Amino acid sequence: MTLPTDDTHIRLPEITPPDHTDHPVLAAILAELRTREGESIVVAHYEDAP
Amino acid sequence: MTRHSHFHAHPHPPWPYALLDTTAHRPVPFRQFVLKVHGRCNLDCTYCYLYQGPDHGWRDRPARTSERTMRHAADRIAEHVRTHGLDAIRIELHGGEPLLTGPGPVLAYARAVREAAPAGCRVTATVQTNGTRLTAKALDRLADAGIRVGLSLDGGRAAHNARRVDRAGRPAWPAARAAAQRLAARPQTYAGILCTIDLAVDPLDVYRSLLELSPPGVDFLLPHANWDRPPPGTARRTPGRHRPHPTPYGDWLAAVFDAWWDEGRLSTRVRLFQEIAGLLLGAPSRAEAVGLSPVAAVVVETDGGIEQVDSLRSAYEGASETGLDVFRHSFDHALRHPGVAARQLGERALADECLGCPVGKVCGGGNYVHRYAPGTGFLHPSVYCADLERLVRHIAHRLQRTSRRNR
Repeated sequence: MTLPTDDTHIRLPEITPPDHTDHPVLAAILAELRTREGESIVVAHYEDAP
Repeated sequence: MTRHSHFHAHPHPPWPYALLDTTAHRPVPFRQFVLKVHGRCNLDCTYCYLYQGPDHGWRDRPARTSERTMRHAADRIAEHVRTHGLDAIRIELHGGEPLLTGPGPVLAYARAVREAAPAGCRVTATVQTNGTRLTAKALDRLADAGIRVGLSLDGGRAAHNARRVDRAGRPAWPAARAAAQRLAARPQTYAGILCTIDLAVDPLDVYRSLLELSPPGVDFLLPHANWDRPPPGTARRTPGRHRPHPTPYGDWLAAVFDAWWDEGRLSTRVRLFQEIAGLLLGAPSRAEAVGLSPVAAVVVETDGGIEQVDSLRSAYEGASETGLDVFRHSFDHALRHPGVAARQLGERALADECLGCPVGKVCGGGNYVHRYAPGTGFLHPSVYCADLERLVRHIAHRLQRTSRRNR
C-alpha cells in the first residue's frame, strides 16, 4: 500500500552522486552513468528489447 | 491545433492525435529500429498483448518479411543515418517469434541493414526470442554474425513459465531452459532476459531463479495495462492519482530491489532499478518505462509498415498505426507523426496530476502505453501510478542511506 494521501506530496530527497562508494551495485550504476556523460542527448529505448 | 487524420485508418483518441500541436516540436532522430522478422509466434502465451489483446492487425499482415521489404527497410534506415549523421544505431530483430523458421531471416535482415548503413555507423543487432527455436546451431550462426540474443522468460523455473505455452498447451519451458543454458556459455552473445511480472509467483524466487541462468541483464516488465484494461489482480478505476491505493506491483518490485541491492556484488544488471537510481541521482533515463527522455524507437512491420511500438496494441485496435511505410516514406515522416512526437516531449506530455507530483520527474508518467483511457487518450497518469511511486520512494530511501554512508 502506498503512503497515506497526506504523505504523497513529500518531496523526494535530493541525492548527490557520491565521489566514491564501496557499494558494488551503486558503483556499477555510477560507472554506467559516467559513460553517458559525453552523449549530446540520452534517448529512451523500447522496453521489449534487452 | 494540428490534425493528422490522414495518417491513420483507425480512430485515434483526441490526445495526442487531435489536440497536440507538433509544429513547434524538434524531433529527435530514431536510433532504435524494431524490425519484424515474423508476424506469427509458435507460442500462445495466455497474457500476450499482441495475440490476446484488442488489436488483431497481425492477421492481415504477411507471416514473414520478404527480402524486398528487408532491402527497403535497410535503405530507409541508411537514409535516416545519413540525414542525421548518426554514429550508432540499434536494430532489434523481433516478432512474433523471429527465429520461427530458423536464424536465416534474422541473419539476412541484419546483413541488409549493415550493408546499407554508411561506414562509420555502428549497428548493434539483437534478436529477442522465446528461446524455443534457439538450437545450438542457430546460436552459433547468430554469434558468428555478431547478433546478440535476448530471451523472454517469466522466471527461472517451470512453474514461473506456466503461462508460456504453445497452441496445444505444451510448456515452452524445457526448450527455453535449454536455450538459456546455451546462452550462459556464450556471454558475448547473451543480451539478457525480459521477465513480465506475475503477481502469483514469489518475487524473490523469480529473481533468484533467473540469476541461476547467469544473464548479464534482466528487466522486469509491468504487464501492459491501462485505465480500460487494468493490471491483473487490480480493480478498474477512473484515470487519476488515487491515494491511498494498493501497490502490489510496487511491493513485488521493491522486494526484488532489496535482494539485488543487498547482494554484496552486482549479480546482474536490472534495467528498471538502474534507471530509477540514475534518475534519482540527476541523470536522464535510457528506458521508456521511467523518466522523460525522448523515445527513439520505431517499428517496421512484416509488410513494410512504419509503426509505433507494438505495446500500444494493448490499448486499442490500430493504436500503433501511422499509415506510413518504408516503400513510400522516410523515417523523417514518422518523426512528425503525433504519436511519435508525443513520446519525445518530456514533461509537456504529462498530465496535470504528474506535473504536480513530487515523483513525476523520476517516473516520468511511467510507460506511455499504461496511461491510456478510452475517449480521451494518453494524457493521464499511469495505471501503475501508485506502484511506481511506491517503488521510486523505496529506491530513493535505500539510495540515500547508501550514499550518505559513502560520502
